[in-house]
Amino acid sequence: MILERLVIENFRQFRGRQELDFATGKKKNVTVVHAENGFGKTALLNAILWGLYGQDGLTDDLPKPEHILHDGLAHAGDESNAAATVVLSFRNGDELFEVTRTLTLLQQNDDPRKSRVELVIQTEDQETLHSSGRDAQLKINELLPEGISPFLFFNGERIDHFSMERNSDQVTNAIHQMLGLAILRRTIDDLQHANVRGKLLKELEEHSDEETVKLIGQAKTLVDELAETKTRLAACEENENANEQALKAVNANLLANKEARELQEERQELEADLAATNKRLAELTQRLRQKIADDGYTLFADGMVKTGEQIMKRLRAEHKVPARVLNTFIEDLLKARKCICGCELIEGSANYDAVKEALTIAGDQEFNNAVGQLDNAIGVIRGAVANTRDALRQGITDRTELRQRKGSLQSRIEEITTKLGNKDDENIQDLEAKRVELDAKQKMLGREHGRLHNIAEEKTKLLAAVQLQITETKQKATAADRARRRLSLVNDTVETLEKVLVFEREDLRKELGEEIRKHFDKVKTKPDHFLELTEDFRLVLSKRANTGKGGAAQQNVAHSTGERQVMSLVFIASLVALARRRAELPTILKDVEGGSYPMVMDSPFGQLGEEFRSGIANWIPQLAPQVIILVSSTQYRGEVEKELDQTGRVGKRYLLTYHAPTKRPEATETILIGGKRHRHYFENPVECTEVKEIEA
Amino acid sequence: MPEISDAKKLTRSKAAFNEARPEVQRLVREALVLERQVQNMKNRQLRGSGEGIHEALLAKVKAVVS
Repeated sequence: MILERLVIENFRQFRGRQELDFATGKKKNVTVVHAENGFGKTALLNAILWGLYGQDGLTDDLPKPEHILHDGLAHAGDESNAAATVVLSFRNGDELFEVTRTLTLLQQNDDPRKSRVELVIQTEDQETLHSSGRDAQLKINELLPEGISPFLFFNGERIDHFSMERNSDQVTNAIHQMLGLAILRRTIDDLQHANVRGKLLKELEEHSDEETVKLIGQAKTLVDELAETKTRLAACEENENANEQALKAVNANLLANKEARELQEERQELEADLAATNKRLAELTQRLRQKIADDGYTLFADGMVKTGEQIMKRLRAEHKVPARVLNTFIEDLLKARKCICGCELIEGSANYDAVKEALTIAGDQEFNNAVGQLDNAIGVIRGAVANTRDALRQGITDRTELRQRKGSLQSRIEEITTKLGNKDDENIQDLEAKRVELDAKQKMLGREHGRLHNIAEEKTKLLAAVQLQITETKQKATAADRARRRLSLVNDTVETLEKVLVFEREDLRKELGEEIRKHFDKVKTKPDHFLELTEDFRLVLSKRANTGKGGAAQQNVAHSTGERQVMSLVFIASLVALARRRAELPTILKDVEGGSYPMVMDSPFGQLGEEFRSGIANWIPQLAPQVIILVSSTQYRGEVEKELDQTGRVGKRYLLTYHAPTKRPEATETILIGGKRHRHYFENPVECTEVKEIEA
Repeated sequence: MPEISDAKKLTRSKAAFNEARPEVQRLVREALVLERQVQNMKNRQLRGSGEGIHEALLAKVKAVVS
């Protein structure tokens, strides 16, 4: 998707008709819009969002969002003609789209959400399609889902939250939305819905015998119970998240308090260490369990191994193994009445009896095989005994050490908690009391979460078992058979989609992790820092630390607001890049694909420290197929301007000029861009902003 | 993404899809087309027919096994 043209008329502070043609080239893909603070950058970003989504699309930082029309028109009182209009033209593949959204003063006064939207599509075959209202909005949402717009059209100063650990849900959602995984999840849920699977179960019940009806009844009960458990689980997770946020706020307050900071910092480190220790302990316990389940029997097999060895020894001594000759061979000779030496074997003759005698020492082939397997098994078990014993000994030693570490960490945390609780400061005491309360609640919610999760798993397994029985039930009636096949089809489809979703999610997470690493390497200022996406979709900034023995360890590092902004930018850029590549790939399922998206950024250099500014400026043109940046002179000064110009990617440049009776005291009348001075403030009785194209 | 790597990355989900029987593959494809139409809607009714997504999915299942 490439934005081509924006026409704004009487939207917010833009008065009259204002036009922008965006840079659309493959090399010249950047449009820069210069504007001082308060001159209309945020309003311009919101013009695009309002054009696409109406009132629902406006950013949170836009003041008085119900005021869409230019104030001068709104206050003039002529409701009949006054209207705000945004026309946004864009290209998607070979199709050209033009969205026109209008809000009259009458509509604004009644309900500003009641804008009128029209969409004209010029297809690849030059056919023109018109739609309006709901249909037009649906088509727009198909092209650019509202859920992903915060990642494409954003205020750069307000995106640092994507990199915060507590927002990993947003990160996960963004990945699912932009990479087409959300639709897989939704399809799975819909197929399992009472109106789909539930109705098929009912249909089957109506056509089935008593036994099947009983099974169906069980399945229905399990479906309902599972749905209820999942609802409770979702509510529990919501409570956990809210409680965790409250806990983080209390922790932040403790960190902000000079008297408590040192102890709080230590406690947070200890708690992180405790969490990691608990995780390692759980993993180790699981490994021990698995080892016992797989090889634990070897420790009790000593007697059996000895008996087996004795049996083998005896059989060898008796020459029964290996058999010198097979009984089937002797029997074949007797049957053929001819010995291998050529003499005839006639029943009752001496030769016949001599050969028959050989049957008493001949061995059986199956017996031979069985003894060989036993011999092999004895060897394997004997070898495994030592291995199992050593592995379990080591595991138990490690577990004891981890438990000791856990105990000492817990003791120190308790000590700190007591110290902080005893501080002669009411604020700290209150915070500690709150912390204790929230911590206890979090633990209780964690237990509840685990319990509900287990119930859900158990019921899912039971349901699968009952469904299998239903599938296996032999039915002769055609209607029942059809109903059962339909139900089976839904179950199999859900199973396939679940597998596809798991694989896609895992593979895309790895791909995204690679993108993130690659992008971060382009802008990082510290060579030992690296940014990673963890398996649970958290963005983690780490550094390699020397362990002192010639080795290196990975350590998480704290980050500033500027670094978080960089991390978020890297995340968004990586997501856009992956979505774009995904759109170009032949995906396995039609309609599960990414897309090619533009990026519109208000103040992308806002919170960046000096060390990042030039790197980001150099990298920004590569963020997306099309990049539109809105910048103030302080954000653009110096190295940003130099770096961006050196990329040669700026294709269009605009200046927002401000017309008002007065300006902010800190605002200047002119602005220097590319060595040329432009006037951007004009004294005018009516406040408004105009768009002026300047040399790129 | 290099092409060889792409092919590798998609193999597991593609294999999972290809392993499914033809009816399942057909239902997956058709269900996704329907879901795509309603994925950004609040009331999740299909354009034109006004049919809800669940009714439409049920009809698809019945059409595949008729």
